[in-house]
Amino acid sequence: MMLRLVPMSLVAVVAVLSTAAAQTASPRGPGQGNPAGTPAGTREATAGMPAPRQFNQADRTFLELATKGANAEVEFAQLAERMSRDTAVKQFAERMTREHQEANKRIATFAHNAGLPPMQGLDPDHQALHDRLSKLQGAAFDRAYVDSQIADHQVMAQLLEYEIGSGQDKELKGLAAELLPTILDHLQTADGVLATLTPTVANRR
Amino acid sequence: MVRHLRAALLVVLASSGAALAVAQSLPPDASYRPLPVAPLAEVKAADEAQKAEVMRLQRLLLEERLDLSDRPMPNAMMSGGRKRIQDGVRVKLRQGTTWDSLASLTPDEIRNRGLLPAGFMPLPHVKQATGGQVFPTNQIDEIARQEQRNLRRFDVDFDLPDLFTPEFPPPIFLTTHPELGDVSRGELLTIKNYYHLMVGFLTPVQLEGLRLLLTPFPQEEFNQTEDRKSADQSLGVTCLDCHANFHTNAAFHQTPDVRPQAARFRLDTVSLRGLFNQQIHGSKRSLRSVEDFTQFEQRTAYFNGDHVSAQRKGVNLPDRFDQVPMMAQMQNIIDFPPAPKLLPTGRLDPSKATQQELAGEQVFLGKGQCAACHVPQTSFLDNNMHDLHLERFYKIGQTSNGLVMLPDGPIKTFTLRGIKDSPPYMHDGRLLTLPDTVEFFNLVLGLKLTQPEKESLVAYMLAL
Ligand code: HEC
Ligand code: HEC
Repeated sequence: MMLRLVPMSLVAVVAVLSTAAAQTASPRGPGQGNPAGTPAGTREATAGMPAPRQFNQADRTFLELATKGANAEVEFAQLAERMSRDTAVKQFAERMTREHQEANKRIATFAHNAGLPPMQGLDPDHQALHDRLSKLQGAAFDRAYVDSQIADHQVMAQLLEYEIGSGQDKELKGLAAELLPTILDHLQTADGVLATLTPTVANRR
Repeated sequence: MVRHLRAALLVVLASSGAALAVAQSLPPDASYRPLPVAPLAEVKAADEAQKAEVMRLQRLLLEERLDLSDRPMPNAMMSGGRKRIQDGVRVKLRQGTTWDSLASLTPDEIRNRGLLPAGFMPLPHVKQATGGQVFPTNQIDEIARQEQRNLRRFDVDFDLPDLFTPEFPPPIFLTTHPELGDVSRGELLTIKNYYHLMVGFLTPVQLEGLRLLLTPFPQEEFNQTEDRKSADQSLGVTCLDCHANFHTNAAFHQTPDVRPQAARFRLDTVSLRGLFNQQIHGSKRSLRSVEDFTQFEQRTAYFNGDHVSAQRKGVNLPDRFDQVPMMAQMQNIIDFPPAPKLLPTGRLDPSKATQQELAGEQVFLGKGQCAACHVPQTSFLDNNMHDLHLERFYKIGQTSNGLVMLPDGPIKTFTLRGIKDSPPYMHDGRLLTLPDTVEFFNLVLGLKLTQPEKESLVAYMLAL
């Protein structure tokens, strides 16, 4: 080990030391990945440990899908804040705008670092949904917006779990693990909002 | 016609919000096992380099959650009389709580204040992202000795201390010969010795079933392709490599029933003792017969529920009309260990049981509500799955060494016959001792048991 350190610059030494420090982290977190998914040419921090910003296929797929979802999340929330008259729906939409904006920035930075082409606006699926939602009003809008939020958060939760299990970049997996409890909380909240829109015997108070 | 269809579609879209849901799809390898993208030598080198760190992290996790010290019960051995039973609550409390203070809080309070002991939460696989079957050292060594077959993985070792696994090799009790007692002769049944040990004890059909249960076939981590975790081109794994002597050696795996990988909970191998009475099989799959389970287990389960991957590695398809029933009939003659204090009804014999055991039975039937699911008369089973809703007590979605901790959902009620022989406990082996299980159910069912009641329950379970 010492021998390998000798020719390195001071910066590299610091980098190695700080990844070593990161490795003494507690077992809370995503843990080691399966090297069977490590692409050729991946640089290593230490033997067997991919260096930071060495992304595998799952990381890239995650980043692309998460960016689409994240962009849509904010667009739809803003639409709902404009369109809805329902307090619970409006509050939910405000929370989505607030809480997704911060996460979106972090995802965008990773996407940039992974060399993904920048993505503006909505992907075609979300655009089609946006067009349909924009034509609805009142209770029909509220119901359709909340339904789509539930579906989107279901997909996002599974997607985050996918990254935690199949991703390679430690920091990106860490971000996914950090976001997941919030996304699941959003999902539960959306379920709660849906219940207020569709009173049934089961949720009568 | 087309116009009609379109109109109908529009109505559906307008009336059902769900139809408006986004079409975004998840990546295919969130369900299907991806092929390795590198040659085996490179994957192996990286795995070996990571191994020390992988084992260290899991050890840290276990020590954070559990007290792993050697504290056996004074006079209690497992059924074969070869291994002591570990005592004491091993799950560690969070700072500033006691078992009683915890039991006085509501589930909401425990969740919001983050007070649920981590040891009660789902236990991750030693390397969650890779997963797969992991054998304890005693099994690996014995199979290497007898068969020169390799069950060792190059990426991980077994993670729990030997103190908390069943005695090895476990005794074997036959329903067809109760008078003989343990017929294992202290040996681990393998393809090399089964015939010599069992001819004359079994029928030809049972012997053939046993042969099949001891024959190795390629599996997900043990096969001949580059997608494996054994150094050599492996001959594969046998059924009894996990169900050692038809009991369990605590080998573990991940549930085949959940995706994606990070959400797959750990599975501790179940004992096959008393299988003849069970109506549903698998903690989640609820397969309805031993035959179904046997066939399926071979086909895809220890291929992680991925029949596509199995096909590539050389799956064995046991014949349903000939081989599967023989394997099933062999499994169906494995009895529980003797419980001399139990009457035919499953109740304690008051002339044999101690005062404490009898008191424990009263708690079990009464205040503890245990018998609602663990019905004494039907081998402490109810042949149902129950959702204990542990997620009432913790915030879901947290990641622990790669496992995303989510609600377990309904899980099959396990038998409590011979329970002292099969640590660790629960479907994932998260609990190490019987006292741990009592604290778990005390909290989850909101029982508010006293200390003497808890101790009597443990004494009672030791007698089952
Ligand atoms: C890698 C270890 C392993 C191997 C190998 C293995 N099993 Fe299992 N077996 C398990 C685990 C773990 C479970 C619990 C499954 C669950 O909870 O869904 C189980 C459950 C079972 C059950 C259901 C018992 C119950 O109580 O629900 C049967 C029957 C069974 N196995 C038979 C077999 C047969 C037959 C084979 C060979 C084809 C086999 N097993 C191979 C680990 C193993
Ligand atoms: C609502 C039904 C229900 C009740 C009531 C119940 N159990 Fe269970 N028990 C289960 C289920 C389901 C499991 C499997 C849970 C799992 O693995 O996640 C289980 C597992 C166990 C295990 C572990 C078995 C093994 O093989 O690992 C023990 C021990 C146990 N229960 C004891 C008790 C005791 C003692 C009580 C009463 C204080 C009790 N149970 C009450 C349903 C119940």
